Amino acid sequence: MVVREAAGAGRGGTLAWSRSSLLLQVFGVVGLVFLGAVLVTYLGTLPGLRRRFDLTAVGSNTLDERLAELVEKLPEPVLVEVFFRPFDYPLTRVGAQAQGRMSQLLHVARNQFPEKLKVREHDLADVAKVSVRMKELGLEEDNVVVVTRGKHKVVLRLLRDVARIDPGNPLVESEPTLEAFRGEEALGVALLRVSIEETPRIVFTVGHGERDLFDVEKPLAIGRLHSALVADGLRADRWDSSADPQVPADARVIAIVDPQQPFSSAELEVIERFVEDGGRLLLTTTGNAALFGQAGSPEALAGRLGIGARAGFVAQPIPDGFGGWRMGLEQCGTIVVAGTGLDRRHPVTESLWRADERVGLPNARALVPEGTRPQNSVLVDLLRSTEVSWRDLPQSGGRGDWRFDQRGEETGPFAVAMALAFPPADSRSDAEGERRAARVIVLGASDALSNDILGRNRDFVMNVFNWLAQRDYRLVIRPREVERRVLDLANTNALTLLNVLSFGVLPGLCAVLGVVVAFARRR
Amino acid sequence: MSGAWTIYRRELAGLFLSPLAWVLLCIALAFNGFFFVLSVKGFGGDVLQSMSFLLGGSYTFWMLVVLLPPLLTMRMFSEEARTGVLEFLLTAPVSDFAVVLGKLLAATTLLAVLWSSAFLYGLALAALGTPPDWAPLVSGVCGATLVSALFCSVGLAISALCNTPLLAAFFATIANAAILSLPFVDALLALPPGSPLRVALGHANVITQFQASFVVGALDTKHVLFFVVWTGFFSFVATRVLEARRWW
Repeated sequence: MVVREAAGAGRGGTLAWSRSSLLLQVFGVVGLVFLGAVLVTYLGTLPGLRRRFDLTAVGSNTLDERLAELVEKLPEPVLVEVFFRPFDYPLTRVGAQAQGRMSQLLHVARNQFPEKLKVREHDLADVAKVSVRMKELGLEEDNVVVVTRGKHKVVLRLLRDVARIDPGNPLVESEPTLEAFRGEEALGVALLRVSIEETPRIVFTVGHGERDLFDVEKPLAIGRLHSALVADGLRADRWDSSADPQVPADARVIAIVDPQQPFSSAELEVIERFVEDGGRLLLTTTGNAALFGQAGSPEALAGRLGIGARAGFVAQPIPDGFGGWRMGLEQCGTIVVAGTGLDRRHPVTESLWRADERVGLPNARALVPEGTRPQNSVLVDLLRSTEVSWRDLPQSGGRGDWRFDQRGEETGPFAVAMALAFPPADSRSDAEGERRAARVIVLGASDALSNDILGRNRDFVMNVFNWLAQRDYRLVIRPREVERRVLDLANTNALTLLNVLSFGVLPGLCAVLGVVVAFARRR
Repeated sequence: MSGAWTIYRRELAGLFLSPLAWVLLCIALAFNGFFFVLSVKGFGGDVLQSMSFLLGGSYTFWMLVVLLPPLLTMRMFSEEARTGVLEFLLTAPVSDFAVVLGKLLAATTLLAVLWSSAFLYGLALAALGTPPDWAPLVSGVCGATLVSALFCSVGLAISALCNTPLLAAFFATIANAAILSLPFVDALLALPPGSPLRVALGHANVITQFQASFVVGALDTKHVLFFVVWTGFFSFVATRVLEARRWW
């Protein structure tokens, strides 16, 4: 009003100036308020100032207490990267279900602990960008969740570690279904593993013709195992026990993989003492027929711990595709252990049993408890062959014929991998002040670790090393039930009622009221 | 604040005594109802999913949220300016902010009535033996009301700027759609992860802010604050524009 009076006084220039000045002031104030709004919005996102309340009846917006406690104790933020892509038929529907539940879980976790968990969902349609990241992480497959903290990384595979699928039966048109979703448990174990600072050292003995630890090309070398161990946060290197008689001070595990030459008694003594003092040992039987069972052989060392290895190789018949079985083939020498052949309680095999995984073992020796075992020891058959397997003994030419001979050959099942644990001889404690039990795994098939078969046995092999390195973290979280409240659609009355309410009653009421109002206003 | 209350009652009476509000409610409810029944069938009778779909989980919800507030707010200043009622209002013993607040609350109340129809669907489902989880329903309605308030404040600011209701509705719809589309700017510009603009756009994602808490039955102060603060900001802009009418 004041401005208009001024204009009436004929001071046009002043009026324009006043308006512009006022306009600038208004813009300035609006700008300041905008910045204020941005600041308040930002402050609202700060973890200390943010509060979140779960209003649902079953607490679906809150993590399980044990997992929440674990996340809370994380020393620094953890990055969770999601690489999901639609599954091919027939897993499309069930895969999407598992992906949805995992995404929902991560969403809840991120919202509950925004300062501890960073979740990045990669769009696999952006092939170029994603493949670079997958390469950085060393991923060879998609539909995985990668949990990373600094150099520590754990890969969770959706249909193995996170969800268990019932494959259904195509013959009766029953589709695969989601049998169990263990996302919280899997995420918890992954967080536990990445939050541990140490990188346990595994030493592979050399100097006796063992498999090459750094060759990734030769089928029988174990270079890929080395890469897998390093990628999993372990350190793996060589130890020449003949040149350096002392076990490296920081070695947590000694691995003896398929030696071709005997160990000296002094070397065996050192290794045995290491184990007795609470050390860890992986021992595979030798593939050298001449060394097998002789003094200085891995079998001799296993024998000192109460585990014996039998001559010959465990074989099993091959299905011929017509409902029958065939013998006499080279493939009979590679046994496949699955289902009841896996110990369902031991940390090494429990997850494999749960995920219905298989372990392939070429040229496997049968193992038996034999001799005197250390006091208070616990011996478990990790892998057992099937009842139709047999122990194929060498013929006159030194090789087996892969045919069951009733006269001299035994039938299965046979243990082909055994785990032994016992308290150490003295009462020495580890860094955490806990008494560390000695752990030994004897594997009857050294080829199970080789480059050409590691891809198939990777989970088993990694479980073996993680158990030996005492990284077998177990967290039991009961799978959460999905709350479903389902209206019976077969009940036509229900749908009719909903239809009447949705299309009839509510809009109709508004229409009637509108007409009444219109008439009332007109009158 | 008594001024705001007076304006609120006047506006609310004006809205509910005009056929336009009832026509809008009728169309919106028929629209909502159609998609609700469709979602119940589509989700195989899953009540929880259907309710989430109704309140924030579907495109239809966002379409209503973008279109309805401008239609309600378009007349609030521009029509009054055209008919000269605004002159009386501005000379009345109430502050400009009270005028804006009263009108904002009135428009938001009408939309809250629309979203509250979800309770009737919930009651119907309960009567059929499958009661929904009421807490997410309540949080969903509250969230939908907050989103509506945000878009009503945008509509009011634009209505205060325009002299023609239709023009106000048009620009407000464009503005609302632009606000909803802000996160897509990130994809258009191919911003690198972690860049400040990308982070800022992420925070300005209205759909995520709504779906991350209200739809899933959680109350998050971050999201409540977001809607309250930005509704406040646009109300402030509307107040300043209204004030500018005195000297422009």
